Amino acid sequence: MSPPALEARGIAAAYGIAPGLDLAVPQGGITGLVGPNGAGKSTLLGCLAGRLRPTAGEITLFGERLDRRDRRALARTLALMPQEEPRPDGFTVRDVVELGRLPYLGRFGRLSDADREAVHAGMSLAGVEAFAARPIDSLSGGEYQRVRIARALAQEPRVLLLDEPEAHLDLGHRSALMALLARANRRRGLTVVAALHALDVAALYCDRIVLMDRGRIIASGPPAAVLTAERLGAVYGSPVWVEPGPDSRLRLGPVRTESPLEEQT
Amino acid sequence: MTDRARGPAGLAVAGLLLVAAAAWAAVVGPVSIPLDEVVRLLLGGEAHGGAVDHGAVLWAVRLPRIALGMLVGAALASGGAALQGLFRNPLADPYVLGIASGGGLGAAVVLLLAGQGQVAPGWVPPAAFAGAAVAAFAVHGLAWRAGRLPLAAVLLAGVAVGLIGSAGVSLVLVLAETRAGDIVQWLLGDLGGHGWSAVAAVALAVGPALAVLFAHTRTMDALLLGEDSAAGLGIDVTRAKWWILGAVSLAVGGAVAFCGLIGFVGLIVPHGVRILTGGRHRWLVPISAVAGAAVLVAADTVARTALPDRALPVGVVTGCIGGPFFLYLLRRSLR
Repeated sequence: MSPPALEARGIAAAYGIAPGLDLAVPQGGITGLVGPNGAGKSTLLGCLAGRLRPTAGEITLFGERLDRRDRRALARTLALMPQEEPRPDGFTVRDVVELGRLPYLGRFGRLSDADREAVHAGMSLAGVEAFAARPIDSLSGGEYQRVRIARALAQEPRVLLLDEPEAHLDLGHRSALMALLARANRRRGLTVVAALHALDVAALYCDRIVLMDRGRIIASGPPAAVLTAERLGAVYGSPVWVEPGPDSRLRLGPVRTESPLEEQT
Repeated sequence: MTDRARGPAGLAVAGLLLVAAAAWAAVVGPVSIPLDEVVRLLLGGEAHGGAVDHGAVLWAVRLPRIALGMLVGAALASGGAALQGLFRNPLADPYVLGIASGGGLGAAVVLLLAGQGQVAPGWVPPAAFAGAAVAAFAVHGLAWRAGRLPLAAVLLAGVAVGLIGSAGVSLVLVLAETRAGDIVQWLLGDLGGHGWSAVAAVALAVGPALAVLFAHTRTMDALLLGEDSAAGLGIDVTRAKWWILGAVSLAVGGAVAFCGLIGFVGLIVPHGVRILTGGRHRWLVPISAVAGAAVLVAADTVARTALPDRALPVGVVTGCIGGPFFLYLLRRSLR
């Protein structure tokens, strides 16, 4: 059996992860990391990406210790898309996507034909090729998120980690972005791990859900097993309804309450 | 013009400007040397007999001055381009690191002592370079904490060290009383009065610094995405910052040591280039270097020929011409 794409064994981190966290991300699926604000999703992603060093335990990427990997080799296997990122001044869409080839370039880095092909493939899969020459200041938030994903795809990783990529996006852009991740997952066998802001998005698009609260994993598995009304109500401190949709995916949302958050518990 | 062609076109234009500026600088001065004679002398021809030896003027006075202007202009402008990107701040220039103030203080102290006959004026460049080095180590040492080099700390330490250096210079000026004029003249920047040995010394600092900066242009692009994203692209962010800041420090130290504090070139040139050719450092840094060389050689030529009886400090010229030109570019880009 192939090793998990990512595996954390008994890790702890100073801000956000309680000691003894275990997690295995199988190869090839879309895993959604959900939980209330401050649950430790970003910290866990940072550890999985090798950006934060856990204070205990170890993390492996395809069976190999993360902290023993060379930075550039790691960047060719795993891409992280942080939540916030400044837009570089005076860059076009293509300029930004080309940065994804950095882990492959030499010191004075000229792009090879293979690099250009990867840039082209990333832009076409992300659907940003049509505005490749546009300056990035002219893009909407949703368009720029797709450009960032195109850059991550140009990096040709086997694992893509994203921190709340769909936050701040409207319904249309949100669906387009999640569909894009599903497409990359299907066509390239890309393993996707995304901290997701919106529970309904996670329920619709993820194969697996990892529910976190206060630095611990409360439950993980298929959406139907993890996203139950009782569990979500307890974790979020506010009532939630969950129903199966016509496409065998779950539909869920908040139940209107009259009382403020503190009185729910 | 397509976006792809802007970089090479910009480099070609900057190169032509540099050739034109250098040619003009070689021709004009108290002794005018016709252009065809400049070319002939450069190709190894003999000087025509006359009252003044044109060959000596060209080789011993004009050419070292032109070479020095190119080196210093290239150092300041490419350093400014690198720091504006690194700090993601359009107001950054090589002087924000406080290094130039340290150099100015070192030079001012020696000029004061030299005025009293206690040391030889030849010690000014080494003292300026030493002052710049002390300031550079102070800034980066103050900002370095727990294996990290936070840029906000570098910026604050740079401003603070720069203020200390300026205060020291002010103190020296007060102590110098009637000799303060010489010190102010030096501080405002002057490319003149140096021979080929000064050119070699500056090249020794500026050459390696430029090589390091050119080798880090892709890294600078990635750092525009923030440190997290840059690290995710396989960059050792802290190491890259050390290389870039170290290179700028070396270049500025070398430039200040012989030529004083020439302002505006490091701020305006990279800005102008950015507006005209886009923000990618792969083109921005080399084009800024060539354009900076051209601008400083031209400004220096204006400085030494504008008034009939005396030379102006080149920093005054870069400020007077560069400021309005910069405003024009800014106005254009805001439209």
